[in-house]
Amino acid sequence: MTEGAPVASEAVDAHGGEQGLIADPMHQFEIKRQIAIDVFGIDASFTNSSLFMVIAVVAISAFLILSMRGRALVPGRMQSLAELSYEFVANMVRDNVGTAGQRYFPFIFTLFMFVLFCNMLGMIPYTFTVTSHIIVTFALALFIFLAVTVIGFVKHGAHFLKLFVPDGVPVVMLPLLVVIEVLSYLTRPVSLSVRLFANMMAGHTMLKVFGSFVVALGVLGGWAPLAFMVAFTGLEILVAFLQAYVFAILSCIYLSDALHMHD
Amino acid sequence: MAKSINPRGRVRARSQASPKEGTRARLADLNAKLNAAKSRRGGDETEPTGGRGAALGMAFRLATELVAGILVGGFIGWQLDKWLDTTPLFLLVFFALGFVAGLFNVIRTARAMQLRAGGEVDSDQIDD
Repeated sequence: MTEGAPVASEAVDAHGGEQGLIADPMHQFEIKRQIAIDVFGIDASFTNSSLFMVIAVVAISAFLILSMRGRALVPGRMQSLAELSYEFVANMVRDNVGTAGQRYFPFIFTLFMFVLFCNMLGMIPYTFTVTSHIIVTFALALFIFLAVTVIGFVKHGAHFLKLFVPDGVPVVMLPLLVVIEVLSYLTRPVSLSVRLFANMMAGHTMLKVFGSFVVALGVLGGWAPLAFMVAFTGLEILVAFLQAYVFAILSCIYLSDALHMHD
Repeated sequence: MAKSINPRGRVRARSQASPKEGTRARLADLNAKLNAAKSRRGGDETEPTGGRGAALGMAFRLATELVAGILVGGFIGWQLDKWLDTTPLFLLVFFALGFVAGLFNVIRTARAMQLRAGGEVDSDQIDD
């Protein structure tokens, strides 16, 4: 949020006199306090980010509860959508974790729907994209990482450490390889969160930059960036879905690793 | 699922107008056509996204896997140096180790992707 400032002034400087026309592409990621809350000196304010998290949760609940209220044997449109998303995640869990994973289905489903709705809500103009902040995605990823590690240790005990010891390696090489394996295990939450955050932030910045090109070039020259924008918005919606999918499926794969301990 | 209900429902609705035998024959005919269409498509309809989108996702996955390795290695090295006061030693060592860990992850992910693609991707497609 503070990093936004120098980038912003650069963007404005680069376009000289058109300061009114060029929008600051980082402005959309700014965190604003809606209700200031202070818990023993820790700033726990209700921000625009929290607001859109609440909106996402309410939207998901409304979508699932209202669409399933009819419980029709032959589903209507909304019920089809709800059933489709349920089956989509159920299949994902079954394919990647197996029957042992059914216990964790509620969590994976919640995770998928939350990330999907946060991404998709961000595609609506004037909204805030919760998942474009690395701290949000990192908190999600870190929770998954810790939970999966705990599940692994509960399930296999100290035997879980065998995950870091590759088979058939000479003893001389072992210390080096164990360090590398531990490091590669520790990269999981980082790669999981960086992927989601980078995709969302890069996409939204691009949209903003090209959007301001349309305005700056006006009626005569603005058509080319506008055409690009239309195509790019389509791509962004695809990315919003795809990243939610990747986030959920990788959680499944990590869970499967912890439950079955195969590489 | 909704797709298979619709055509059948339509046939059933018409059955009151036409004789039963004809309907049965047409249903069997439709069934054969559906089966033919299904087998032509090949069973793999579970893939949720288009090929291009999935490929983009895969590419990005591999890239972040490598970057994350370097980031984590660098961070651990930097913190160890700060703690033990041995500045650049551990940073350099863990930077390299992180890079190797990232490469391991990339290879592992690529192998998993290849396994997952399994039947539908044959060897000449991998080459290009």
